[in-house]
This record gives sequence, C-alpha cells and structure tokens, in this order.
Amino acid sequence: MEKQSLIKYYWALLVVLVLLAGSNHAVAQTSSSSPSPTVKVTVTASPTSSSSANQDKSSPDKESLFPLIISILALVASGGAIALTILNSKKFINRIQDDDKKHTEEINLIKENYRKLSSSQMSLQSNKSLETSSRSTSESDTNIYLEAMIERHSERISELEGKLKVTQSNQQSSISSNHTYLSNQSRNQEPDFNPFNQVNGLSQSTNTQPLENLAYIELVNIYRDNPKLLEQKAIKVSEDKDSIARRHSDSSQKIVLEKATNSNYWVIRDEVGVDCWLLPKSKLRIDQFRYETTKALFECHGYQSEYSTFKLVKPAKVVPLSTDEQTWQLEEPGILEFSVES
Amino acid sequence: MNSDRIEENSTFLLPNLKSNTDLKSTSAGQWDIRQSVEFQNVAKSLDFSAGGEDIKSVSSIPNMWARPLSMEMALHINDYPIRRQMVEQWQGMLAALALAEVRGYDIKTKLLELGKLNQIDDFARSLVELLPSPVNSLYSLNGKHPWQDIYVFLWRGKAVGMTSPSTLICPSEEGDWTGLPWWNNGKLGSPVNFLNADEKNQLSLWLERLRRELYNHGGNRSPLNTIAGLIIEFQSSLQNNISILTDVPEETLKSAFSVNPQFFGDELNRGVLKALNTPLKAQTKPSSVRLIPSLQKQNVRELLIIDPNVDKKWNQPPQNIWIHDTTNLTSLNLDALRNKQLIWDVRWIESEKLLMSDFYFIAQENALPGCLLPVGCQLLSYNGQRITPLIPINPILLEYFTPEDLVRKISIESINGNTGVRIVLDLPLYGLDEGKSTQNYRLVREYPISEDNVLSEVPVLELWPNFKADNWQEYYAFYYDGEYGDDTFQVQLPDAAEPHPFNDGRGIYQIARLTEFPAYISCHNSLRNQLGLMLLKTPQQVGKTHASDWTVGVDFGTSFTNVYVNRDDVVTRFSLESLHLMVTESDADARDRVMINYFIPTEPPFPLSSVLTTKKSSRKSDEQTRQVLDGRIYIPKDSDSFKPDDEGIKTYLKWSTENLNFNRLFLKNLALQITAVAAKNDVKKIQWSLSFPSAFSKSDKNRYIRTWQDITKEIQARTGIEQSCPNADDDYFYRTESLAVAQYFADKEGFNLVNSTCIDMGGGSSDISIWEENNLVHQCSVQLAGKDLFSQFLELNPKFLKRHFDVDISQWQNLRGAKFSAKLDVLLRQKGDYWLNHQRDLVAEDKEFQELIQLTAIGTAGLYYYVGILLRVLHTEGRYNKNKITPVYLGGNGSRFLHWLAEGGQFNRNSEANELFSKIMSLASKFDDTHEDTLLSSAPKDEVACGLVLSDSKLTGLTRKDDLVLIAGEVCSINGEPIDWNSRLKISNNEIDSFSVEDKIANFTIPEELTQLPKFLYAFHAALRVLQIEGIKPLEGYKVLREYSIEQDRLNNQKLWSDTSKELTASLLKIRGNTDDIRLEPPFILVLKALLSVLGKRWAEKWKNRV
Repeated sequence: MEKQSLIKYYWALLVVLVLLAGSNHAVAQTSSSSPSPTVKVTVTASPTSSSSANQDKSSPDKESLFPLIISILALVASGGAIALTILNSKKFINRIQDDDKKHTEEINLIKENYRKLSSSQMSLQSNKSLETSSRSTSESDTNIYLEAMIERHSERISELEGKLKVTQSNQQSSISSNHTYLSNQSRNQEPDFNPFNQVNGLSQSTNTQPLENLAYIELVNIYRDNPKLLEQKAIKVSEDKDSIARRHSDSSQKIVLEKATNSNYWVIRDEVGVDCWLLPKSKLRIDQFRYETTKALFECHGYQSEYSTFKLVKPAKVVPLSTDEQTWQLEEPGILEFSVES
Repeated sequence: MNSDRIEENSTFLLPNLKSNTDLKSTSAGQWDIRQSVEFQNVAKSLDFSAGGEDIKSVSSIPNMWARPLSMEMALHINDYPIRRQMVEQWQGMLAALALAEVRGYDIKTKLLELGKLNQIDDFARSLVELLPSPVNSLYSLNGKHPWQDIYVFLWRGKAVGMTSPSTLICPSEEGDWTGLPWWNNGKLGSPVNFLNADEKNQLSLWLERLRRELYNHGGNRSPLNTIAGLIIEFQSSLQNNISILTDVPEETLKSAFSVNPQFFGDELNRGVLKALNTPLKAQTKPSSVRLIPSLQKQNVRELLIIDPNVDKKWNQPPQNIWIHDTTNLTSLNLDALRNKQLIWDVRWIESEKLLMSDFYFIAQENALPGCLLPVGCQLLSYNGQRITPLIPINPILLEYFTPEDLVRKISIESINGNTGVRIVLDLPLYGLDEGKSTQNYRLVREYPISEDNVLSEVPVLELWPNFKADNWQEYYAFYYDGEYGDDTFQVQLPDAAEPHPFNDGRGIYQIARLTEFPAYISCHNSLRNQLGLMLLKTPQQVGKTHASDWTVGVDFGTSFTNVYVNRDDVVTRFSLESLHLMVTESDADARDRVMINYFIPTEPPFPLSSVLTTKKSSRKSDEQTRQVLDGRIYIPKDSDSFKPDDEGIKTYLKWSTENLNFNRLFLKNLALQITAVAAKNDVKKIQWSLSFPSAFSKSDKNRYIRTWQDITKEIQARTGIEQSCPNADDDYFYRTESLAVAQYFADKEGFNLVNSTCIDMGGGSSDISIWEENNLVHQCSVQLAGKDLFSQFLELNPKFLKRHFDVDISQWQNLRGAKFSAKLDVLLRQKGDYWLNHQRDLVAEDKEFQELIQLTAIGTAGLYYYVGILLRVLHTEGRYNKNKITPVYLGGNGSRFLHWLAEGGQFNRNSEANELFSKIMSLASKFDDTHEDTLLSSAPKDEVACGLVLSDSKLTGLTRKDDLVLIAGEVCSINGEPIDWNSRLKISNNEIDSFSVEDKIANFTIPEELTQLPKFLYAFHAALRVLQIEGIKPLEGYKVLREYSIEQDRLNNQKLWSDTSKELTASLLKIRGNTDDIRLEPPFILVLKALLSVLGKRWAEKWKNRV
C-alpha cells in the first residue's frame, strides 16, 4: 500500500518537473526524425527535482516517447485536478459570500482560514489574499496558487525521495492499522506526506492520496471550524426505508439516501457539481441506535457508545440518483474517528 | 423653614379681621383668658377670601381639639371660609365608611373613653380638661359629656379620623387614605365621581338610615338639622330624586347593611354613631373574570383570572368588575389572597402567570408534527431558519380548554425583525353583561428570540394509542432524549399513572402509563425549569359506531407468533396498524431502533418473533410485571443487531417454565395491542380463539389458558372492550394446533382430507393430524421441528454460515439453544429466501453443505417414518380403514426447510425429497408406495392462526376428545411396564388419556437395542438407492446391508447406535415426575432426536477446522 503510494509520488514528481520546466521556459527539444515515434527530452530544473526525476526513470538511457506522453497526460490531469480543486475552494467561498451578505463575519473567518491555509501550504505572498472578489483577481490568484502548489509539491517530493529508503526498510512496520491510524507516535515516526496536514490534522490514510484529498479537504476544515456555514447549504438526507430493507437482506446493496426533514446527514455538493459529499450533521450524537446507520455510511474508528467526540476525517462520497436532488447513492464510505475522554 | 418657602407655600393665618368684627386684640405675646366661644368669634371675624380655592384646612388654632372644632365650624357655619372643602372631606369619609365592606376597605375603629383614660394618661387628662362645648352635639350620653367617648378610625392601621358629637365624623388633617379612589394628592374629596350607579343608590340608602337615626338620640335641634341638611345635600349629589328614599321601608334599609356588628372592630354604639356601625352589605354577583371553558370542559371547577388592571383593559370602573362573591375589583385584597389569609372556594390565578417568563424554541421547522401550533408560528425564524416554538402558557388553561380551542386563542407574531416574538392570549371571561356574552381578556407578552433558549434537537416522543374511546384507560408515552442532553428538552407527562423514568448510558428515557390521552406535554430542562408546552392534537374518538365482533386466532409459536382475525366471516391475517402519535419529528435512525428496545413497536410484521424484552424493567421478574413498562414484544430488525444474549431479551417463551412472567408479559402486550386495533375499528367485543400443541403437558395447557383468562380480564377492565376468552374445556375456541392446521388446509387451501396427513412444523414442535373422509383419525404433537432439523446443526458448527453465506458470526459463538435458534430464525427470515434463490445452488456441491442437507433430510424423513408407523398402527387398530399411505400437507415455519433439500431451492412434487418421503412412509407403514405428494402450505406459519378463525368447516371430529394417546413408534417401558413400538403410550385404563390423574412416572426407559430407528435409517438409505436420489447423500460410514437384519445392522453400525443410546439417556431423565407436568414424546421421536444429535456433533467435529 505504502509502496504504491510512493510510486504515485514519483509519477507526480515527474509531472511537477515537467510543469516547472514549462513555467520556467525550460528547454524541451523534440526530434521527429526518428522512424519510431520517440521523443528526446532534456529537462532543466532545480537540482533536487532533476535528481528525483532521473531516479524515477527505470531506464534513463532509453529515450522512449511513451513515458513522456504518460508524463504529459499525468501533468495535464494532475495540474487540472489541482486547478479545479483550488477553483472549487475559491468558488465555494465566493458563493457563500454572494449568497448571504448577512454572514459577512463568518465569511471573513473562512477567508482568514483560507488565507492561513494558503499561506502555510503554498508560501504565498502576504498580499495575495482572497479579499477581492473580482473574477480577474481570482484567476490571477489561482495561477499563483497553482505555481505555489507545484513548488510545494516539488519540495515535498524531494523530501520523499530522501525518505524513500527509510520508508521501504520500515515498510512492514509502517503499514497502517487502526492503531497506527490513530497513534500520535506513529505520526511522529512517519514522514508527513500531506502538505495540508499541519492545518487540517488529517491522518495518514488520507495522506496517501494528497491530490484527491484536495477535493474535500476544505470541506472538512469548514465542517470542523464553522459547520453552521455548511448547514445552510446542506441538503438534509436520511437513508431511504427501502434501502434499509435491502441492506438488511443483502449487505452488498448500495445505500440510497433521500431528502428528509429531520435527518442526521448532510449532502454538500461542490460548486462545479463534480462531487457530492455526505457528512454527519453538526453535533450529531451517534448513539447506539444511530450507529447502525452511521457505520454503513462511514468507517467508524474507535467507536464506543460512550464516546466523547468524533472527528470527520473524510466525508463519504455520494452521487445523485436524480436531477431534482431528492436521492443519492453512497459511492464511497467516509471516515469518522471517535475518541473517549478519560 | 426659610422665608422663600414661606412665601411660596403658605398663607398667613389670621390675615385680616373683618371690618365689622367685635374682637378685641391685645399686644403680641400677651395672653388673655377668654371663653372658648372666642374661637368661634375669631373664625367668624376672619376675612379668608384671600386663601383661594386650594385651601383645605385651617391650622394653628391653638387647641388640642382644633381639628374637630374646625370641622364643626365648617359644617355648622355656612360661610366658613373653606366649608365646601371640609364638607367634601366629610362626605368622602362617610362614603368610605359606608362602602367599607362593598369595596373591602380596611377600616377599623378604636373607642377612647377619655373619662377613664384621664386617670392614667396626661394627654387624656388634657383632652378632658379641654373638652369642646357640647353646644352643637348631635346626641347625649346619659349625662356624660358627649365628647368624652370618641372613636378613632384607622385606615390600614393608621389613624385617619375620629367621631365627633357635632359632625358625626371628622377626617384627620393629614390622614393617609392610600387606596381610596377619592383621596388624591393628599386630599380627601367627594366620592360622587368615583361611584357607579349601584353604589350611589346603596350609599343613598345608607345615608337615609343615618338621617333617620339622627333624631333618636337627643342632641340639639339646630345642629341636628344642619347635619340632616348636609346628609340630604349629599344624597342629592348621588341621586336625582331623593324623595323616594323617604318611602323606603325600614326593613329594606336594614337588609342593605352588613350583618356583622363588629365590622369595624369596636362597635360604634354612642348615640347616633350607631348608624355608622354597619356599612353597606356587599352584594353577591357572578364573577366578571370567570374563565368560560370549552363546551367539553363544563364540569371543571371555576377559575378566576385576576388582573388588577383589568378595569383599564376593559375601560370600566373597577367597582363594576366583580371578582368573586361580594368582592369587586375595588375591594379585592390581592395580597391577602396571595398570602392565603383570604381563601376562596374557587380557583384563581393572576393573569401574569398565564404566560411563562421565557420563550423557548426548537431550531427546526415542523419539529412537532403531533402538536398543535398557534397562528403565526409558521413564520417564525431564527438565524434565517424556520423554528418551532414551545408554547409558553400555563398548563392550567388546558384544564379549561381543549387543545384545539386553546390554540385558537393564541397567536404568535414575529417582531423587531425576527429578533423577538409577541404572544397574544385571548381568553373568554364571563364579563359584565350578566353572561349574555363573554368578554375577551387579552394578555400580551413580548419575548426575545434568544440564543440562550435554542433547543437544537428534538427527542423521540411518542404516544400510544392515538385515539380516544369510552372507558379506554390504557395509554402509554415514550421519551428518549437521543443523548442530546441540554440541546433538547425533557418532558413531564401530566397525570401519569405510572411514570417509569430511567437512564441507559448517556440516554435519558421515560415510559409512562396514563389513564387518559394527555392534552399537552410539559417541557423542561435538566434543572427542571419549565420551558413551554406542547399542545397535543386531540385524537379521534372511536367506538361511536358498533362494528361486528371480532374473532381473533392466536398461534403462539416457539419462534414466531401469528394472529388472524375473522370479521364478518372475512378471514385475514392480522396486522398491527400503527396507533402511535409521533409527537416529535425525531430522526428515523434513532426512533425506529429505540422503539424496538423500549416501547411498543410500530407496525411490526406478522408473524411476530416470539421474543420479549424486559430491558430496564423496574420490577423483579418474580413480581407482578406490567405490560410495556416491564416488558415488550421485541421485533428484531435484523440478525446483526439482534442479540438474544443481551440482558432483558427473552426467547423460548412458549415452552420455558423458568419464569412464566415472561410468557405472560409477551401475551399481555400482544392482547393489548390487538385490542387497541379492534377498538380503533369500533369493535366492542373480541372472541379469542387459541391453540396449543398436544405436546403440552396438562399443566402447560391449563396454565396457558389461565394466563389468557387473566390477561383478557384485566384488559377488559382497562379498555372497555369486552373480551371473551375460552376456558380449558372449550373445544371450539381452544383447540390443538394440529386441528387448526387441518382446518386451514381443508377450508383455506381447499385440499381434500379424504385421506390425508396434515403437519404443522414449527420451531419447536410438529403437530400431526391424520384424516380419513374428513374425519379426524388421530392427532399428536411431537417435539421435532425446526430447531432439531436445522438450527441445532448450525449451532454446533456456526462457521458454516461464515464459510458459505458470509455471515459475521462473531456474535454467534456463545449463543446456545433457544437463543441461537432465535437469532437464526431472524437471519433466515431476513435472508433465507435470498440464499435459497441465489446461493444454495452455488454451494450445492460442497460436501459440508451436502452433509448438512443430509442431516435435515434424515430428520424430516424420520418424521415421515413415524407418520408411516402411525398409519400402520391405526390401520391395525381399525381406526384407519384405507390401506395406503396419505398425501402430506405440510405447513408451519419449519416447512421452509424442505426447500433446502430441493435443487433450485424450491421444493415441489418433482423434488427428489418428495419421492423420498413417500417411499419412507410406505416402508414404515408397509403400504404400497403410491407416490403420495407432500404439499407445502402457500402461507407458512399462517396455518394455525388462520385455521382458528375459519368459521365453517367440512371437517368433523374437531371437538373429539378421544384418541389423544400417543403411539410409541419405538419400544420403551414406563415404570417397568414394557410398551411395544406399535402400542399406545399409556399406563392407565383411561381410554382417552395416557395417564390417570394420580399417575407418576418414576422410570421411563428405552432399551439400548432399538428396533425401529435402525429400520428407519436402513429404509432411508435403501430409498436413496432405490430412487437413485443424488441431491441427498447417504451417511458416510453407514453400512447398508443388502438384506436387512437388525442384528447385523447393530454389528455393522455399532458405534452409531451406541452413541445414540448414550445421547438418549440424558433426554429420558427429563421424563419423570407428575404426569400432569410431563411433556410426553413418542419414543421413536426421542430416539430420532438422539440420532440427529449424534450425527450433528459428528458433522460439526468433522468440519470444525475447515478454513
């Protein structure tokens, strides 16, 4: 598992190098004279990036076109994902701002959080804040964020490289278990792959796919810091009665949720409409009775009926079954982490 | 005092003397001796016109009697400078005395006899020495100076005036008459403008009496005339035509006065003063402030709404507003009421207490679907979100109004930009119109919508049943806070007959029994501070029409319990329609599951699992337990969440004799819920039709019906629904299960019972009846059913479920016996059909599975073998005339297991097992195998309940009492008396029963050398071979002889029969004691079960380590 994740990082590293090369007007030469569709690539980049890129290639002597195409495709995909995610986050905030002027203070709080997050993640210049809501400024900021993000990734991947050997040697011990998942000790021992970890405190299992995390990471932050904001936008849902019956007779059946007046879960749709997320409502008390449903929607780590608090680690992913936003189907369970105060 | 103030506020006394005065003055500071008449001369000589209209008194006359003398002069001297003001004061005080009782004035008198006091008190002596001249005295006192006896008047304990022989009364200079309406700005004035017409009339009468009394006590004529003139003048100011007063009879006058001779304390009895002694009598009038209740609440005790300012709200003089009896608003002494110094025979409440001091609300829209909400609630919001208010009113109002009426009297509106609410309460009071029309009393209060008063969550709150019926006194309420603590509210149920609050973990719960459907529920927080009310919708009144009686059939099974009902000869499976009132919109996740554990389940599916939960019962199991509060029917939602070993979960209720309370509690709940549904459908009478397995011992049978009789008697008393429960001898409404099943097959499924065997295979027993030409030939019940044919094997090897059906068995490992069977029943109900249809064939070739099927097949075939023996014996006895085997109609929940024996998961006449069973029956009976079919019921587990309520039957012999004696099927001995396999299992000469009443079984044995069971097992294998059955495999290791020899079989399969014999010993030990208490079983069935047990253990052992 860890190994696979690291390989992903290598691919991501390659992507970032190419991206950096492009943004720095690095030289890339191609040759079409070759009878086979091969491409000769020379990359000029920072020494650290270069070394990691070279290391990633299993056979640096072979100048095959295939890896490059893959790299470019990966570049486009990952860059797009990053951009999309950042755009989503920014649009989400802007939407809140536009929709409800009455909550200016709360929006400002979000902005502040976002600014802190951005500055801590991407070393942004202090004057690159979200305080302006004009479209042109947002796009400009987005580019800067993108660059900063890539730069940050580069740094992180460089760190990874240095840790790789250690990681591989400790692979057996570093495989996540429920205990290590929750263990502070484990966190200290294990290099923190997720650039957002300091801010959002995500655990290792989410660290393994940082780019995917970006899609819900802001959501988790808002949920933690100011869930009232989400409540206003949330669609309140409960598991459909038929779904409960189906689940009881066949546990492999997908769970269907429907809009309900007094429900325990929220569906939050992201601005672009790509993803819908399912979260427990704010202050939900997951007693022994509600737990029966909760455990079908979330992996519940450390649950005891006498728990004190829970933390949303990852929202569940749902997809709408109808265009009128009445029913959703669970695609991927979320993760909740329970704790008991002594 | 400085000079400026003197100039502003004072007028110099003795300003100027009139020009024509005869007074002689002396030098300043020089005292002369003069007669007292000099005062009069001074007064007459003063030119006082400069004093203006505001002057109310003249002071500084240097005499201790100055004030009464001043009053005397003012009244008796027409041109006294401030006469008008003094007369008004005089009138004001007279009116206060006259109306003291009517208006409830606190006036007391104190007699001062100066002639006595002067001996002991210097001041009194001075007074006596300075006694005024009696020249103007209105009465004489038998030679005593009339000024010697004086009464002092106290208003609320403070002196405000005195009597005067010359003026009757004299208000003091600075008397504090606080509370007297005509005392303003420190001045006593005329009362005329403060009295209503009634009071004026009354006061005129009082003055008339005073006037008439004037001349009866001596006194000087001139002053008498003066005072009489003043009285008439006063009367004139009150009434236009006072001449009629002179015609008022003395008796009429008397009747207008108080009957209390010491109303003022010391009795006024000096001269004419006695006319002052009795004030006007207060009139009795209907209260203007009596609440007019709803039509449905006419018999409640009167309630007065007391608001000291109601006169202003109604724009009426206070004396017009009658509060209670003789008390009007002016005479109301609220403090005395509050302090309980004054106690009325009616209820009263201060209006300000009708609305609570704070406004609490739930931050959810439509959070109280079972409640009524006032107009305007729909528009309330908090932080942009719709809210649901708790109604901040005093619950006392619900004693006078139906919730529907009350809610119409309340309106709520949002104020101050949704930051507050205004609550308006309009109450109909009796008013001033003598009841011709009510007078609205409006109470308005504004509240902030405060963050401190937000309730973010709603608890689970339910009421059952949601109807009203005459004589119905069984209501239950359930509350669970959802572990939300102070984010939600707690409740108090009014007049709960049996509240049962408890905690479980962090949750706060309450179950309560009520004798009436509540009109409201009071909400409070953890500190018991009241937060508001929820007004409940008055439920439908049922029972207004008279529906046909119901006949209800109850099949109380080992695993499941089923109920059918016959309504006008229409027979249907009973369904417990939901009679719950969902008071709060609680989340379904919590509600559904918490109700299963702690309350009457909503719409449980029939057949019900025969499971009881006694969680959080406050009574010990050996105490008298109460339905709902101490135990409830438990409806397992799914096998995962059903934990039969949890504390409080009770299974095996039908057969267990450990605690009969559980059995009783289950049936109590069932009967009550059925009765509620009947009541809802306007049914007035229920005829219960009950069944029992003939495997029941006599004690079981009697106890079971006695339980029902007790239960139904209690329910009838509490619900008003007549309950007709059979007694033990009622063969029609208290039947064996085997007969009920047969009736089902004949009359519901339409099967012919010309030559048939009916079997109801349940979880614990199989009930068999054999029929010929629709006549009952034989019936019996054997304790061989689902748990023996299937459950026991999986209990021994639960990993089978994990391996083949992916069941999480972590909760199964420690379950034993009935608890395991109960969980398996739930699992099979939940997933059985799915597995049969989708997974059975996928595992059909697995050896472990095949061997399980083999065990079930052996058990079922064994039952058929016993039926074959029955046919043979009955034929031999001449009871069964046909010499052929019968088709078998198989029903009951256990009949489903036959599907597991069939390829494709669907047992039918083409199934190999069908042929097998026919062959087995043939081999046992020695009749030809005529390939008789086994037909399964189309509604497994409905047969008994349905059969119990089918009214007409083509069958005969249903009420026969004979032939209840079991046929052995295997050799045995009872108390040393051998019984052959083909004999009846009896030791008495009683024709219809196995035992006499006094019989005891000391010893029940089955010899090790079995005769019939080995034959059966051989027949089973022979049939498999002959019929070339592939789906059911022969026993591994069982040696099948080419030609059967019992001795050879014993040798070849010695270990098997030896183990079976050992296994048997344990079960035989249970068959001892009083025959009434013994659940007798045919020996063949006993040995068959022993065999199955041995084979099951071998199977489990063989596969226990399989991965």
